[in-house]
Amino acid sequence: MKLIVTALIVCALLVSGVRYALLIQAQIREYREKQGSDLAVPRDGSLNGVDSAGALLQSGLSGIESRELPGYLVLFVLHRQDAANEVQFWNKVADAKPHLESASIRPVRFWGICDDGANCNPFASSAHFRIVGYLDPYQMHAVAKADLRREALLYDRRGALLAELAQAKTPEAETALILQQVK
Amino acid sequence: MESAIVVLMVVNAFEMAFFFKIQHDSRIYNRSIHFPVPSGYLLDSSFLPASAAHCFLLRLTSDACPYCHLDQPEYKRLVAEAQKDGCKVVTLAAKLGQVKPNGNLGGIAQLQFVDINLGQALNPYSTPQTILLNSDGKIAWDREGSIDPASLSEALHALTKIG
Repeated sequence: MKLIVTALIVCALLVSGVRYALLIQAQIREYREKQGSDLAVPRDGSLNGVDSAGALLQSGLSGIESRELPGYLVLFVLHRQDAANEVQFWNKVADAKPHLESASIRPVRFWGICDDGANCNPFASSAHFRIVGYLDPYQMHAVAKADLRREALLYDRRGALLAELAQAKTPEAETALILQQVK
Repeated sequence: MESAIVVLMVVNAFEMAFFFKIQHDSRIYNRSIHFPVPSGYLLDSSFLPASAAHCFLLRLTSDACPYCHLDQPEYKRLVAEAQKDGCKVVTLAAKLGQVKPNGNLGGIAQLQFVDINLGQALNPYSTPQTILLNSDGKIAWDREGSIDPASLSEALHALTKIG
């Protein structure tokens, strides 16, 4: 009798062990997927926001609205603490628009996403690009992820992510990175 | 035979502990993160200022998501209790166009455009999500997927703990 009870206990423990092993395997898969999505920037964009003047921006890239010609859109983060320097840097990149547009044959636009909501608005008058404080949660999450890696995001005319651009040391180098992608 | 039982019990205990650890780590939100006070532009283009509240109930939803409609009785009950306790209730759509503006939401703000701090904290990749935050933005309770009766009672318990 004792032997039968012992054998039953061993069987129950074996079944439980196998069950947990299978559960762990599934959970590890879920964990890896989560890790992957935590790091990756999604390939599609939701390029809608509100700029420093409180105007609703719809990029026109995603087909929602076609007020603007289809083209490329560069999103980068403007850090309020260093906004004066960063505006200067990105102004030089934005000033290369004619060069970029003649190479790509399409408009290239720049949105500087403020890391402090509307608090970069005082820089709007000196910026040669749009300052945007608010985006769709989906897009803002992508921008925040890219900023953790000090990257800008380049979207194509279909609103798909074309490239994650590393923050270059000079505006000329940044322009060259964009040019490489759009030509 | 007895030693086999001991070994199997130890293995089971180890597996159980590891399973719960990895299940915890796979959660959409780490409980240690802090959310900023929800603010930004609403679907009707008005601005929602970052004003303090006793607690916040956030709901990421989409009109096209079937699971977002499944738990309406539980969600509405949670909203009613949260509002009674002085919580600010905010719904969000991950992308513009996923939720139609609704003028008759009974004090619920339909937030559409967020700043980078809220954008970073919020994981926009699955709907529905329901998150209860205390006044400091700390997660008191959260649920990925429809709210079932068991998770509703957890949420109501978390609400009473917020006080």
